[in-house]
Amino acid sequence: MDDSVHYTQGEPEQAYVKACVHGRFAYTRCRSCGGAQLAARRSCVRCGATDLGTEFSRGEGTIASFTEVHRAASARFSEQVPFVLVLVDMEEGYRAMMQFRGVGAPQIGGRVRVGFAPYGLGGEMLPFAEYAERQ
Amino acid sequence: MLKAAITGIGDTPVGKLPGSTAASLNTDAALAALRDAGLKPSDIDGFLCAYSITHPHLMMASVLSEQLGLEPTVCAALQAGGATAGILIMQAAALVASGACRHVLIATGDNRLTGMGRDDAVNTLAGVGHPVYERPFGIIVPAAYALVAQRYMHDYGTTLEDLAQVAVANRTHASRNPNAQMRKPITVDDVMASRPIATPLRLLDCCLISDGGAAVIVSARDVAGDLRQPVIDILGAGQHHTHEHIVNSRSLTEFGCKTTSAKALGQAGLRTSDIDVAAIYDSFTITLVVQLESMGFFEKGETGPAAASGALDLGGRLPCNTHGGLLSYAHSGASGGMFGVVEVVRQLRGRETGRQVENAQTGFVHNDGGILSAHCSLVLGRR
Repeated sequence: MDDSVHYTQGEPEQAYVKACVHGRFAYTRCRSCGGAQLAARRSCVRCGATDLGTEFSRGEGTIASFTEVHRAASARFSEQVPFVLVLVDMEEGYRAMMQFRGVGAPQIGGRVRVGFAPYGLGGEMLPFAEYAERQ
Repeated sequence: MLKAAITGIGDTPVGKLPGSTAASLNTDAALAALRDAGLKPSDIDGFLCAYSITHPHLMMASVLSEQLGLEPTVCAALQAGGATAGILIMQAAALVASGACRHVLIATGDNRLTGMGRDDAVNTLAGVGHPVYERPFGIIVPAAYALVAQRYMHDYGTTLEDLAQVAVANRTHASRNPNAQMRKPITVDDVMASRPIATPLRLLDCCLISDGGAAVIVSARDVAGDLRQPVIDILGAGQHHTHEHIVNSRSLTEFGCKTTSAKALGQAGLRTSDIDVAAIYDSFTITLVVQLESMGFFEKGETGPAAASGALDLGGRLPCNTHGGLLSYAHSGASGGMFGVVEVVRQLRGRETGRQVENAQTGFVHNDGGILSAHCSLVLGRR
């Protein structure tokens, strides 16, 4: 379950997975209707077009919702609990899930920026959210 | 009205059932439904079932059909998480309405509690998170619902106490049901003091993990009256699938239940105020609150205070989850939704003791699968 990065080789997510290594948040923009979405599909969910391009987020957004998780999904998370999970509305127009780190309690509508941190032993990187400025 | 009726119901005990298997729970429930309807295996020409996490099989329906001695002309398994039961019934209704089948037996069952243990169950269910965009961050199913809860509370003013009221209401029902897994009455304070799982959801905001099975028989409308039980017609049904993962849900507060209930009630020619008894999916307290308010049974933010004043109880505005629901009766995979169907049929037959809704003529069942992803509403009525 922890090998999802490898699991997705060849899948539409690979642009995102590869960009994470370089600390960049890749997403998909439809060249037909201009809609943004997570890099997870082969077609645009708004218009169905398959002419999709990879773009990179500025890494800024607002918290759509959050939860403090007290139960570990697997051994990898046992040392992390409790941790805060957030849904972030990226300013480019798509929503992403990540952990929230750093100072201050999360709030719906709070402005965050996305950073990247390593996880696991394979050097994989994952995005996290932190407050864009001191609250 | 669909040209279909529920003519048989069956269920197993629920809770911790050492020695049970997915197959034993499915077949015990199926045999009980056959006895209830007064039908023989040779009368069954359609067999549908769900899935098992503990004993998965490539051809689940064929395995169970063989064990039951059936030789159906339609035989298939279907998986849609918590919405499976309702969807199986819609599928069976379509089969009998089209003339493809006369009597469709539907079985569900899983030994989620003794077959895998709580940690395994939690971890397996975490596997429903998106492999790239959710699971690497540590999602568990309660956290996905918690994200909905947090936003819903923010937008509509629902409070932690409101959520607790829903858990208390379900437990009150379960306390009257000798078959329920959790019968000891609880208070709002008990819920508030239970340990956090994924804030704002606490342990008593979360459904149970159980062993158990439930089955129903759906028959063609014109043959249903020949059987031994009062006929429970399927008056309306609706289904809507909007996403699978919460990260991809268009909204955190509006879900497919709004359209499924409108469609099912519209087919039945009824309004929410016409419903005498309901079984509405309560995987978490927030699940029930969002759905009741989205489907129009209560206004936004109204459910908690209404529950506190007895609106969900016997004699209230909408007696809901009279068996105790997933929160207090039992939850064992696809059977979780089927327990609600079985309970509403029992209420419409009018023979329950200690928890009978007086003169119940119309019933409403709603199932939700995934993270409020797959929805199915059914409207049932006593003929």
